[in-house]
Amino acid sequence: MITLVVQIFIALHTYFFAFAEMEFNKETNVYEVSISSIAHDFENHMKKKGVNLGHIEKIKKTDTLFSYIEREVNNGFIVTPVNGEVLSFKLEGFEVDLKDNLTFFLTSNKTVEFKEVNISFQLMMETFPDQQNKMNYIHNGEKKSLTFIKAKSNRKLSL
Amino acid sequence: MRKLIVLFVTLGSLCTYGQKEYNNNKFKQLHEELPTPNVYRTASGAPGHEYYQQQANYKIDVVLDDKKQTISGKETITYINNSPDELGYLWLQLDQNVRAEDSDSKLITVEKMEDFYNISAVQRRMFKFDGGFKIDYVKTTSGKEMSYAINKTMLRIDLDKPLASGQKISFDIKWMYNINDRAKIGGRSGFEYFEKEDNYIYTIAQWFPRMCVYNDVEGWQNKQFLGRGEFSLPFGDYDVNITVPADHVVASTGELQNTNEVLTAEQRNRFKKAAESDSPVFIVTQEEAEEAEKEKSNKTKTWRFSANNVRDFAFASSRKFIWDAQSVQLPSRKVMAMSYYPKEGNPLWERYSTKVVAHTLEVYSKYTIDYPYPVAISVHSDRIGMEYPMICFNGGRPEADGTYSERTKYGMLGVIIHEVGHNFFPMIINSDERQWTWMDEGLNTFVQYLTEQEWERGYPSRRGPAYLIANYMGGDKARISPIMTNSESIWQFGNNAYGKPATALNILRETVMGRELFDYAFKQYSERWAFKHPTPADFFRTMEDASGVDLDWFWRGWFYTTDHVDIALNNVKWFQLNTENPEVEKAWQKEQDAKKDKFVGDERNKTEIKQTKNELDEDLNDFYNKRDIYAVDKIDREDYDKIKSRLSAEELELLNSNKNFYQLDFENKGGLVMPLILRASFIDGTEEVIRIPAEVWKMDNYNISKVFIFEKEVTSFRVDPFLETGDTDLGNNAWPREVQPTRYDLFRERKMNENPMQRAKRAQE
Repeated sequence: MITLVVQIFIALHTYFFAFAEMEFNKETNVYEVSISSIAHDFENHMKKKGVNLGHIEKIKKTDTLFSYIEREVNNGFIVTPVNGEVLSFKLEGFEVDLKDNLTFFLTSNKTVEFKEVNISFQLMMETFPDQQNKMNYIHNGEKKSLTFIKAKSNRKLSL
Repeated sequence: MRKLIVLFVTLGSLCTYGQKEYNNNKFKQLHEELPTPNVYRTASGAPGHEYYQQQANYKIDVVLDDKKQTISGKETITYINNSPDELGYLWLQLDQNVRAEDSDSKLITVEKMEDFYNISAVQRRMFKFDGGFKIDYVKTTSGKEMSYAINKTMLRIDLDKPLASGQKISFDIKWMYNINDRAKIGGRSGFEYFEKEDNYIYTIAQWFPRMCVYNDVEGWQNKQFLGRGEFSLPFGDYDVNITVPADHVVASTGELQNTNEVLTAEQRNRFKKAAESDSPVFIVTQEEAEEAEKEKSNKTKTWRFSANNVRDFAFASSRKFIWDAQSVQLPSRKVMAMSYYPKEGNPLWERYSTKVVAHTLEVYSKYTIDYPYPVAISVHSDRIGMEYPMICFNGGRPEADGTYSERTKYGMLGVIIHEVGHNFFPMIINSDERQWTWMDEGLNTFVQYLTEQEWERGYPSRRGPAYLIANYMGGDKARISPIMTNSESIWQFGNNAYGKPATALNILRETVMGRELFDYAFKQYSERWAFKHPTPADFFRTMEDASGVDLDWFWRGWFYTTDHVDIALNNVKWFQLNTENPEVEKAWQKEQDAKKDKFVGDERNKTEIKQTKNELDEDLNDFYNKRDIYAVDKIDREDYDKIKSRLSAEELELLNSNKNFYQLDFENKGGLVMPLILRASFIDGTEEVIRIPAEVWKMDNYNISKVFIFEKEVTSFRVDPFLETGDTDLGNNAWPREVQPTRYDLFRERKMNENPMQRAKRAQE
C-alpha cells in the first residue's frame, strides 16, 4: 500500500521523514542549513494548515506563498544558542526532484559558531504524528547526529 | 614510506573479539532467532511435507446504495479445516470496525493540545461517523442462529460441535455498513464525491466479514486491526453478485460472468477486441462516461464475478468510469490488463495506466511466477494507492487544465507499478502483513524498483538504490527500529518497511550474491510460497538454500539490528620490497632524501651565508665531511652477492619486481559488516576495482587491515566507489581524504512557475 495523502486517524502514510544538514560557514559567519523532506508531505501539511500550495515547485521567491513556506519552515526548525537569542533563518530557496524529494536551503543571520545550541525540529509533526526528523551537524568534517520525534522535538547540540 | 616486509603472523590479533560471556560475533548463525524447522516448514525454507493451509470459499450478494452510500450484504462462507487440529471456534475479521466509534485505533492515537492548531483540526477531531459493521445475523445454512461474539475488529463464532480435521462448515452472515468519505476520514477504501456533478466513485474493500488465517505459526490470527498492519487471509473461491445503479460500471476482483446482462453489444465487441490487442482498447469511452455522468438511473444492475484461489475480494463502481483494456502475453498464459478512471484522470490515465499494468505483470512474472489470474486492474482514485487481488486503487490526477507535472506522472507510474505488484506480494505469496509489513511492502518495493528501471532508463525510483537509504540509517538510532519489528510498532514506517528491505535486497543482488544467484533464489522463494503463507524464516532460509550463500550475517545485520554501513578507510601505508641491491637502494634513498621538505633556515642559509668556515678552509674536512653516503662500495656489493647466492631465481625475480604494497586499515564505524569494494587509481591514470566478501570481517567485526599488491603506484583509493552499500559517511571513504560537499554547497536555485506542459502550451499560443 502506498498513500499519497495524509489520512486522518489512520496512519497509512509511508514517508514522514525530514533530514537536515547544518554547518557553520566560517567565511561568511552564517549557519547554512538544508532540510530534505517529501514534497507531497509538505504540500499536504500546508493544506491541513489552510494554505493550498498546489505543486510547490511552481512557487517563485516573489510569490506570497513563498513567505508562508519560509514562515512554516522557520517554525519547524528553530535554533537557539544556550543563553542566547533564537537565530533567524532566511529561506534562500528550495528544490523538488522527480523522486518527490523537497529540499529547503536556509542561511542564518551573521553570528558566531556556538558551542551549545538548543534545536527544535518539529517540522510537520503537528500534521503527522509519526513524523521523525533527523539532523546532522557538520563540524570540522565530523558529523553529529540528532533525532527528533513528536514526544522529543527539542534536543541540545554540544560541540 | 618504504619498509622491509617481514612475514610473520601475529596470532594474538586473531582472537580479540567476542570471547567473553556471549558470542556477539556478527557472523554468528541465526539458530537462536529463527524457529526450529519442522514438518510444516523445513530448514531449507520450503513448505514441509505436512504443510497445510485452510480454505474459505464465499458466495456473496452485495448491494451498493448510491443514495445513502451504504453497503448491504449477505454471504455464505464455507470454511474447510485442512489443519490436523480440531477447531472449537472460528475467527473472522471485521475490518470496517476500525471506523467504529469505540475503535481501538482511535483510542490509541497519541494526542497533544498543539495538534488542534486550527479550527479544521478541531473539526476533524470532532467529526462523527457511524462507521463499522452492523451485523444482522450469523446463521447456519439451515437458518439456525449461531452463537457469536465481537471483539473490536474480530468476530468469533462458537461452534456447537468442534470442526474436525478434514471437515468443512458453511454458515451465513448478513451485514451492512456506511461507506466512509475518504476525503474526510481517510481509509484504504471508501468513496470520493465529485460535488460539481453530484457523482461518486466507490472503491470498496474490506467490505465483508472475512475468515482469519489459522496456521502452524500463530494458530488463529489474533492481532486486532489497528489500521497500520494490514491483512492475513486464507485463500478461497468467490462468487459475488454486485448490485449497483444500472448506469454504473463495475471493476472487480475476478472474471465477469454475465457480460450479456451488464454490457451492451458494442461493449462486448470492444471487450473481445481488447482481449486480442496488445495495446489498450476502449470498452467505455470518455464521451460515453461523460454522457453517463449527466443522469442518474433509478434502476439497478447486478454484476456477477467469479474468482478462484484468491485471498480477498474488492471492487469499484461509478458511472464516471472510462474503461480500457488490453491483452498481455505471459510465458504460460494470456492476461487482461485493464483500467477504470474518470475524465479527471486524463490525459495521464488513458496514455499510461493499462500499459503500466501490462508492463508490471511482465516484469514481476519474470522475477517471481507467471501472473496466475485472468485480469489485473488499475482503478483511479484521487491520491491513495491500495491493493487487492486482481484490482488496485491508484492515485495520480492531472491538473484541471489537462496538464500534469513530471512529479505527478512519475508518482502515478510508481504507484500503479507498486500496487499491481502487490498481486505477487502478498496476494499470491501470502505473507502475514499484520505481523511483518516488510514481507510484502519490502519485497514488492524491491521488484517495483526493477520494474521501474525496465520502464525507462534512469527512471527516478524513490527506493531501491543503496545511497537513498543513507540518511535514514546513519546517525542517531534513538527512534529507528530493526526491520524485524511488528507492523504496529515500527518507527519510520516507510523507510523501515519499504525502503530498507528493498535496499537490502538490491544490495544482495548487486553486491553480495550477484544477479544470477540472487534471481534464482528469489524466484525459488516465489515459486515455493505462491498460494501459501510464508514467514520471514522461510524467506531467509530459501535465499540461502537456493543460492549456496550463507547470508545469516546479512539477515542479522540488516533485518535484526539498526546498525548502518559506515566503513572508513583510516590509514594507508605504502611499501616496496627492499631489493638489497646497493646500486638500487642507495640511489632510491638519495632521491627520497632530495624530495624531503626543507627547513626554512637551511634554505635561507644557502644564500645568506656566503661561505662557511670549512668551505674557506679545506683542512677542516675530514673523512666524515668527504664521505658520500649514497656511494656504493665494495663491501656493499659483496654483501649483495651473498644475499643473491642464498636466493633462488624466482625469489630474486620477485625481489627485483618493483611491486608496490599497500596496507589499508579499515574501520567498521556503523556496525554493519559489508563487502569491501575498493577502487585504486594509479599514477598512469588507470583504475582497478577490487571486491572483497564481507567475511573479511569475520574474526574482527570492527577493525581490519588488508594488503594490496600492485605493479603501479597508487594515487588514490576509494571505498564503495559505486555507492552500492548505503555507506552513510562518504567523507571517510577516500585516501587521500576528500571533502564531501554538503547539500547546501550543491544548491542551485531552480524554480518554475508552471509545469513544462503548461509552458509548452503557452509557447504555442
